[in-house]
Amino acid sequence: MKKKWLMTGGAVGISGVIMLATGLTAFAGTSGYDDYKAALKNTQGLESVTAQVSAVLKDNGNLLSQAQGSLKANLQNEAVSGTVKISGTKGTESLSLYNQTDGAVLKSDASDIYYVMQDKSEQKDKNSKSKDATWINNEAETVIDALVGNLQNEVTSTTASDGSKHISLQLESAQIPTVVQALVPIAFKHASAVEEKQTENKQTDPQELFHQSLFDFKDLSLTEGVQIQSVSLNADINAANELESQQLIVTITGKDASGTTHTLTSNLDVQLSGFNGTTPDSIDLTGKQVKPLPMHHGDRFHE
Amino acid sequence: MYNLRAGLKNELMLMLYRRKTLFFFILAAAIPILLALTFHALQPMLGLVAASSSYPIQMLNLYTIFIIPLFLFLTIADLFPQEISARTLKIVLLRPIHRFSVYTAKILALGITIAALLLILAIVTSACNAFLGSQELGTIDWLSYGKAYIAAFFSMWALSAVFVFVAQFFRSASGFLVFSILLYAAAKVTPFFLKGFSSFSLASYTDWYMLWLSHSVSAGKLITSSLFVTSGLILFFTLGYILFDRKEA
Repeated sequence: MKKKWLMTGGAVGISGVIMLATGLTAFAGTSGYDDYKAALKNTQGLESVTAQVSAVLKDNGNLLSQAQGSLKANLQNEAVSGTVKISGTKGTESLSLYNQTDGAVLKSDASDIYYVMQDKSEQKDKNSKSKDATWINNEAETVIDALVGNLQNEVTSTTASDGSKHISLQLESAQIPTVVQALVPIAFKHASAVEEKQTENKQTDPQELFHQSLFDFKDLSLTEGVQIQSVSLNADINAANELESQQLIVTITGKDASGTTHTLTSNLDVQLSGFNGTTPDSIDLTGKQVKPLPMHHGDRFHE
Repeated sequence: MYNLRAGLKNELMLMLYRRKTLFFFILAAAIPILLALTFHALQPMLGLVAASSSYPIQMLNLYTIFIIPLFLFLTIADLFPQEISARTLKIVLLRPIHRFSVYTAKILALGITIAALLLILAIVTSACNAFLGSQELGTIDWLSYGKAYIAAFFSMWALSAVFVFVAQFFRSASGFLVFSILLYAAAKVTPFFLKGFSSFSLASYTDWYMLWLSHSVSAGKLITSSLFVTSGLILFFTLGYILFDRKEA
């Protein structure tokens, strides 16, 4: 009798302690996911920053579209200035843009006209932005963590001797949640439908040009067997816990209507610098050719 | 040892004679085929891959979250509370067989059925991939998928241990069934409200097999999570045994 109690008691005791200990390790252990989240939050709290953004879209290794931008942003008063250069299968487009107190200003490098957008939605945006300032509040964070679930453990973090960290996440098609995988073909369908609608009404203002040269979705309307092949995220966090660079690569495979297999690779690269030391340029519109930009373009995104 | 083998045979035969076990096995085989056929038929509309090379893993996700736990609740209800309310447990306990053997036989029978379900799933989904999927979009990575299935087996067995323990408090099968489904749902929802809960809950380990697919997860993480699942398995089976041993049938 005594022996039996010793056996069961021992088994309960030992396994209970191990379970508690390993549970605590999982609870207390900071994964790369936590490091990345902390850096994201910290970077969001910055006052001003300079961003170099580059996006490349390739189809079977051929360049489809490329965008390069350089932006200076003050996150406190939301002043932004910068240039964006987009080249695609339909040519190249360069834009300068400014967001200042009297509205957003867009200018194509091809013309001398300054397009001004003074929409009321600006006010709305400001309100929602200030809510966004507390971006991930605690409850939302818990929900996101629960949704991410065990994928959290896939994010690896390596810390260098100077305190900077390298974060990396590599996912293959089997590891991507089924729901996300199922949404991709639907997104493709939607994107090509929007594109068809846009090409119908030809407009010459910069926003339209922007859209047209950015994408020619008909070239890559995948209709069959669309799936995410891999997702990879690499990020560098400096010793002050600010995100210095992020690189996101997504590869999608699928077949088009004629049965040809396409491998689409999109590569997004964001480099941040000038933390809290950036002053956005402003532009003085007096004496320049100014045209107001119709409002409905801003609304299109709310459709 | 002979006792244990006889007990195990007894439990497995009992399970086979129950119609719901057979029903569940047929259902387990039919769901992936039906889904693959549906996706295949809807392909012109949705553009989804009907049964890609990751189909065995996508289905495993569905199975470890819903179908296998549901099967476990039903089977555990038959193994413990049902035997008490139908007074058949008395017959087993009157046999010259140790209570520990009776209990272990039930646990092993549970493990064998989980393994059988997963095996059926693996065979059916890879067959779906072979017949309906397109091979040019990648092939099945047998080694890592095998590891994932083994990991899924252990997490499911550990989950069943928790519910075997819970079952010892019930004398009626339906009461246990309702309570366990609610408990499982609560354990699945709590991480959305309570930070850190998932670190201590075996129910959060249903998609644990994902870690074994990855090449980037550190060995330390795999070891601690394996230890957590194994110790949970041992702890709840032992706790269940303590209660089962003191039970008066």
